[in-house]
Amino acid sequence: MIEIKNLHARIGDKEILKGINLTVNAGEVHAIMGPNGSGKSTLSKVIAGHPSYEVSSGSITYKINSKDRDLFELEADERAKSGIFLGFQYPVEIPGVSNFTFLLESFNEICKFNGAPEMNSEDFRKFLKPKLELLEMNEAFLDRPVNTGFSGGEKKKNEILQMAVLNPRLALLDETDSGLDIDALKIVAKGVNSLKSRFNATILVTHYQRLLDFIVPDHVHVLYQGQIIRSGGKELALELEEKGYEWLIKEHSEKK
Amino acid sequence: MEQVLLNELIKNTAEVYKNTSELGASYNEAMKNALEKFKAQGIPTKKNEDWIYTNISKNLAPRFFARHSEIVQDIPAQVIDRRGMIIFNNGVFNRHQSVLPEGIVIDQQVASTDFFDSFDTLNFSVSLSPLFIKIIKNTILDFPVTIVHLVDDAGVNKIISPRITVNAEEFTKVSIVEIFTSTKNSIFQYTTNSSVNFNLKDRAFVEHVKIQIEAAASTHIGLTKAVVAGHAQFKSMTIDLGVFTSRHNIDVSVNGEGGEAHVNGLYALKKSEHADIFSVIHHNAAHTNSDQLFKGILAGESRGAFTGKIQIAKDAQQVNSNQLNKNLMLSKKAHIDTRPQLLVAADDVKCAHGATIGQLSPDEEFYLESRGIQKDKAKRMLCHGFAMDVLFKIENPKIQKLAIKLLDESFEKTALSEMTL
Repeated sequence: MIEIKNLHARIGDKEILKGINLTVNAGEVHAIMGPNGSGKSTLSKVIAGHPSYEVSSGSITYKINSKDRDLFELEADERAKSGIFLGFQYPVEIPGVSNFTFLLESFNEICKFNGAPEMNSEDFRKFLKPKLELLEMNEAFLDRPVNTGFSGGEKKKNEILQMAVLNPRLALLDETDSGLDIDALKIVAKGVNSLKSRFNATILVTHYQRLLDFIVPDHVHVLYQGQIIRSGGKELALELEEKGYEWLIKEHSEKK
Repeated sequence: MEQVLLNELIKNTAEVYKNTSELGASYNEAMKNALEKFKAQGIPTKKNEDWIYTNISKNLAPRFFARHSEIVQDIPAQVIDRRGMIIFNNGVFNRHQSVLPEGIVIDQQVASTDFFDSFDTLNFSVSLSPLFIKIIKNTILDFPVTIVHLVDDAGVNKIISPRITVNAEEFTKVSIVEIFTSTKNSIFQYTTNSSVNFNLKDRAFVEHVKIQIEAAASTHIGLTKAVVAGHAQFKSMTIDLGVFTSRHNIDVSVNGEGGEAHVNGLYALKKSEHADIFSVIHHNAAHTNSDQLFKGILAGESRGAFTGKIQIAKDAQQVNSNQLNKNLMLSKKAHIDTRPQLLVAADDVKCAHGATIGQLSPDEEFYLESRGIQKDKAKRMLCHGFAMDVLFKIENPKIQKLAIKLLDESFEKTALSEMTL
């Protein structure tokens, strides 16, 4: 579905990604782990098209209607319309815009782009109902301004609600577990799991193994100083939980 | 230059005084006295500390609208509910068209002797049909009263001088929206100099929303003044949607314990429009509260100014007062001056003030884009949200809806193409 080759990206003068190679197929769940500052969040933002990052070399190809497209030719909104979703680590507060309006605008933009009929507010409210129930969210959420005054857990649930509404083909979830207590984490995981299918893929960016108890990955990658230094199965995450990142970093620097 | 204009204005008051006999001898006398006072006060220049951001004489009309117009026109489109509408044509109260709801009556006219500034003085001295109304004790209106100030051909190149005094008796609750506009917004040039005065008795609640959408080339000078008694609440919203030059004076005195003032506003400016907001809140009693939120959106080459004064008297202890001014700049050529001023004589009060000037943040834009919303639309939504945050403070839902509609028509549809940041 998506193929990243030798990706280098910088913010200002600082190179953060230094040659990432990663292939994700439909139906797969990948976890990207690594210590703070290794470039995990940058990778997901570059895929989603954040304007602050400059790609200096490498490529990302993304399959749209079984055709390979150069992802860098698409604006951020076009990437979203083509099925890429970024669940933010720090969702942005937008006072004055109601959650409902935001969701409806977003949903209809994506419908329009893909030639599907748009939905009116009344039908959209009905459409949202089971999704709110899945995430154990009160309907009152819809009429509050986007993320404004939400608790950390509410913000993360709101991200997953957006994901459930937009039904992406590739979901990038950036530290979705941070700021969640165990109950909220379970609800969020339940939401993500229920959206999984053989047609879509998920990339989980996380510092801790905890989330992976609830959303089980097929592949685990360790990112360090802008490169993937180790890939493995789900057991790699458990090993990291037990031993930390130090041993891998040591092995990596010895190889150098 | 101001002196020349002043002399001309004084001379031109003669045509006003031909038509004031209806007001009675003593009121006429007071008008003449006020004119003498105005002569002494003069037209403020930029040398005056309160006027340093605005050259007000630049486009003032030289003559006064001095007739009683009784032409009955169509009911203005902005009227929300015909059970309560007060219409002014060229600054003159239209008694034929206006409808006062049950519980609101014409009140006895009282001449003023105490004025906010020279424009208030001038307004009193030339206002031909000052309107005095009383909201009778215990009146609670469940629909808003609309006041429309409409300027037509006859008002072109004139000074329009509407004057309104509202006395709200005990236990009343009323929402009022006041709209300043003209019949041909694109071509008219005139000056509005209005004075709207509220007296709130104990436990009265008055919401007042002022919307300025005058003709593009005109000048608007307007005073909103309120005196608030114990446990009464004055809720004011000033919305300026852009004009050649505007100056809004807001002067609220909270004089009784438990009294509250909520003074909010939005200015949304484009092209070379200029708006100057000057807000003063006096806390003259203990245990009084006030909060102020003024937001500005500035596009094109527009200029805005905000001055927010909070004055707390010596014995006014346990006062709570908040003030915030936030500005969103949409263009590199737009300009804003903002100054908070606290004058506190009491020693046990809570006061906070703040001012921000910023641009749309790339992170906010990206958040919307990452949800499939195009950059341009994302910017529009963020601007809209920035404005809504303050318009949501309008308590009456019908007035809120009208304000949102007018913001869209007078600003969002046109100005957001001028974004250069």
